[in-house]
This record gives sequence, C-alpha cells and structure tokens, in this order.
Amino acid sequence: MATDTSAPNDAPAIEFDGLTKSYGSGVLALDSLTLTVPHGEIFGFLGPNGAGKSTTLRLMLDLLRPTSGSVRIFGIDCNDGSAEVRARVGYLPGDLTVYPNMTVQASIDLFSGLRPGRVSEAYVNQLCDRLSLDTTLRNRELSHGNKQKVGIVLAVMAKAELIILDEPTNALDPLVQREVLQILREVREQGSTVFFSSHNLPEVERICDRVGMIRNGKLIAVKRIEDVVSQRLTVLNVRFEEPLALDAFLGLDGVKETFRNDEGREIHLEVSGEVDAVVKAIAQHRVLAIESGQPSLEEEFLTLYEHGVAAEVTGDDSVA
Amino acid sequence: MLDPLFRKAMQDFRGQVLGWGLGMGAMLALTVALFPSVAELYGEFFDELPDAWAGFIGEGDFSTIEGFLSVEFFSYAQVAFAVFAILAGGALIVGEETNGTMDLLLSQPVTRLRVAVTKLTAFTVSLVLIVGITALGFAIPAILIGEASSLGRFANAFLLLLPFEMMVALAAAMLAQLFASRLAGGTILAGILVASYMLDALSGVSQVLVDMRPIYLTSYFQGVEALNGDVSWVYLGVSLIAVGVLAIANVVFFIRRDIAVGGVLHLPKLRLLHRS
Repeated sequence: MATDTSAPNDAPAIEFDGLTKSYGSGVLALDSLTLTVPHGEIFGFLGPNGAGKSTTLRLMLDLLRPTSGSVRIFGIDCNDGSAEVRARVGYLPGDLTVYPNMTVQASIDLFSGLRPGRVSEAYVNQLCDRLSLDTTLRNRELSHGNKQKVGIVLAVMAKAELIILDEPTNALDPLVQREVLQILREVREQGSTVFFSSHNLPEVERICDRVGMIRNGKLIAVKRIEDVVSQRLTVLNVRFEEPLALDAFLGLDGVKETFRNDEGREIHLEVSGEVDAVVKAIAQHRVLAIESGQPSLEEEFLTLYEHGVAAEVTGDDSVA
Repeated sequence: MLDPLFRKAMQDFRGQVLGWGLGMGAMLALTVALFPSVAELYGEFFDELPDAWAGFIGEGDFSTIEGFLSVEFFSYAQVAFAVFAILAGGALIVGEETNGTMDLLLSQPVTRLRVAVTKLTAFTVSLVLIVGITALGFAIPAILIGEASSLGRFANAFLLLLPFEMMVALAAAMLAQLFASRLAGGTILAGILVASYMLDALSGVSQVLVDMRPIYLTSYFQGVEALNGDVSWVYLGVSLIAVGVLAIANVVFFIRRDIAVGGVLHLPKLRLLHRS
C-alpha cells in the first residue's frame, strides 16, 4: 500500500499508531505506542532510564526504523517523508555530541546552513546570551552542561513547528534549567509544539500540559498535568516535641499511609494530592523538625498503577 | 556557495590531505631526485642478485626512471595509500555514529542519501588531492632532472591509484557498516591487503602464485603495468565495477538501517523485510 506523505493542515502535531520497536536480540524497546499530541501542546514523556523514551524520539526522527506501526508528524509519515518532517522539527538528542573540533559558532553556522532562511542570527544571539554560552569556544572545551546548552540552541534556533527534546535539562544547573523551561514556554506561545522526555516529574509538572508515562517500553498512562499534581504523593517526616497518636492524621484528606517512631515523637506520612489539611493538623502541635520529599519516579509509577490509571491510557485522555 | 555538508566533510579531510599528500609527495620527490646518482649503482646491485630474490623485490630496469620508480615507489605506494583508504573509508559513514554526531546531523532536513553521497564525494575529492599532491612530488623533480618525457606514463600510473584506493576505501566502509565497527572492518581489510601484497610479491618466484593473481587484492592496482605500457583492462574493469557496486551498496545499506548511537549498532533489519 502506498503511504500518503502529504500533510493535511488539520493533522495533529504527532500521531503514534501502534509504534513498536524491537531489536535483533529480541529486546522489545517500544511496545505498541498509540498516542496523539495536538498542535501547541507541551507534552512530557516521562519514564525511568531504559523505559523506551529515547527510542521513541529516535523513531520520530527516522533514526530508527519501526518494527511495526507508524508515527506521523503533521500528518507526514516519519519514515517515508523523513526529510520533510525534519524540516519542521528541532531536535536535541539524548546522547548529544557536537563536532568536537568546531567552535560553537561554527556548529551553529553549519546547522543554520542546512536550514537556509529559517534561522535568525538575532534570535541565536539572544538564546546564547540567555544561556550564557560562549560561542567562541571549541565544542571539545565545553563542560557537559555547556554542551547541553549548545544542543538546546541548535534545537530551538529555527523556531521549528515541533521541538523534540531528549532530557533537555540534563547536566544544567537550576538557574539554567529554569531559563530553558522558560524558552520552551515562549516557543510554545509562538505556536510550536514541544515534546520532551524526562525522568524528572517535578520538571515536567512545571511546564507540561500533559504527560505520558512509559515503563518497560509500554505507555502506561497519559494524564493532564493537573491530574498528576492532584494525585502527587508527598512524603512528610515530622518530629514533634510530645508523642502523638496516629489518630490525629488518620482520615485526613489524602493521607495514604502513616507510621510512628520513637513512641510517637516522629511520624511518617504519605499524602496524595493537596497537603493543606495535613499541614494544618501538624500545626496544631509543637514541631521540632519537618522534612518533606517526593518519592522516586518508580514509586510514582507504582502509585499510579495502584490507582488504576494504567487503564486510562486507552481512554479519552490519550487522544486530543 | 559550497554546500555546508560538503564543506564540513572537506574540512574533516583537510589534515589528512595535507599529511598524506605532502608526506608521500616529499618522499617521492626525494626518491626521484636521487635517481640520477643511484641508477647505475642499483642496476649493478640488482644484476648480481639471485633470480628469486630479485623477483621478490621486483624486477626493474634501473636505467630508466620508470623501472626505478616501479620498484622504489609504485611497488608499495598502493599499500601505503591503502592505509589512508582503510582508515578514512572505515570512518566514512560509521565514524559519525561511533562519535555520536550522526543523530544531530540526521535531525536536520537532509536525507541519508545526501549525507552518504556527500561523504563519498568528499572522500573522492580528498583522494584525488592526495594523489595529485604526490604526483607533483614526482613531476617537479622529474622536470628538474630532465625526465619530463615520461610524465604521461606516470600520470596514468597515478590515475590508476584512484580506482584501487576507492575500492579499498569503499570495502572498508562496507565492512565497518556490516560489523558496526571501524576496527573490525579495517582489520579484516588490512589482513587481506597484507596477505595479497606478500603473495603478489612472492609470485615473482613461483608460477603457482602467479596463477592465483586474480584473487590478490593488490593485483587490481595496475600502476606498475601502466609504466610498462601493458595495463590489464580486465583488472581495471573489475576494480571500476567493484567501486560502483560498493558505492551503491554502502549508500543503500546506510539508507535502510537503524542509526547507531554511541557506537552501539544493532545489526540492521532492512526496511523491505519488515514493512508491508
């Protein structure tokens, strides 16, 4: 059957249709991914290392060939119309290596030259300034974080309709991370769609409209970010001056699990969603110390499984 | 304006062009410059060698520049240039994958066909430049010592380096793609080349080895024969066909397979095999 490579105007930004990738060794890296991402969305693709995130992104760029299924970007099959797709896409690879003997500026010039008329020098300079990137240095002289900045500039500089980023804030310090996320918000405001992978849920929460969660090559959930936040697990360890009974917290909104140490002077609480009621209950007593934290991504996944959200991936939420 | 991909590929070859071209050219220039003073001496020396030994080294008429350089340059030049061809050929396509830069390159609006053809073209131009610079290392001193009359034959001999080295480089590129390793591909090809060179050299002392010449890789360089005016068009034709076939095979294979990341390449499943 001939594949239609023409791009209907109303086509979604990204359509995965049963996309599967297995390697010769029998490893199933991606299993029947079906998902639609509409124009103008920032979509976070979340999963632990080795879950299949980079494989998915590389399939979108036609760097890998699917075993079965397909992915279409703006209605164009990524395999059959790969150059046409890539003309509309900016990409940051996960394992980024930029030509080590070239300067940053020469790298920018090279890749700008491959997109004639699409890259504004003023915008490139603005990006480099915002990320404090010295373009006179050779790529081999750059730290890991600065190499990542080069990759981000190269991915964003053409203001492509779709920006695909593989763990964009990797190796960046918190200030630069914040700047990168701000840049992504801005490109979305200018009409671009952003699809990025991460293993950092708080980062995804800060910027995404929706998040897809992948584990062992399978998409297990697609959630609106408000729903993720509302189900988010917060772990609180509170040390009180006086011993307390757990009854003070049982039954409060969102409290999932509790246990006591040191005869009730230290209480461990796991709270799903808003912590307002729990904080107010804690405030009724004299508190010596309080620690809060988020569970690991793996624990988050297990929580989502327990909530049965895995089933939701085939529901309306997965389709825009 | 020069295509940015081609310009980048040529920049990558810049050091090798200068290094190999000037190095081989300088060595050849020195050899040619020595010819008038050593020709008679070498002639007497070789006349006294046993037939078998002379056959191994390579028989030549040391009273002529053609005979002198047949032994003193063209008997090993193909192997020396083949070192460049194997190194550069092995890295031609797989190099960017093992370095990790291919993902970024292929995320740009360029087809794999364009990438492969540009790299092959840049290699070809670089090889021509290396051989050209080396040829100047012959031509300039040859004119200075009054041997300009032989320039035509030498031009043919230098030109015949091109299909041979292209064949070696493309074979190295193909093996590197098949084994997903520059080292594996280069080692295999270097082994074949050295074995061919040794057997070809020894064929001067054994008829059996002469009969086996069609299987020696080195037989397909016809430069020495060009100096004697008896080029085998069969060998030349086979090497030209091999260049064409290997070039197409490299490009097609590159277009159809997965791109490795960080040197990890799962052996390819051709698109035709898994797409309906």
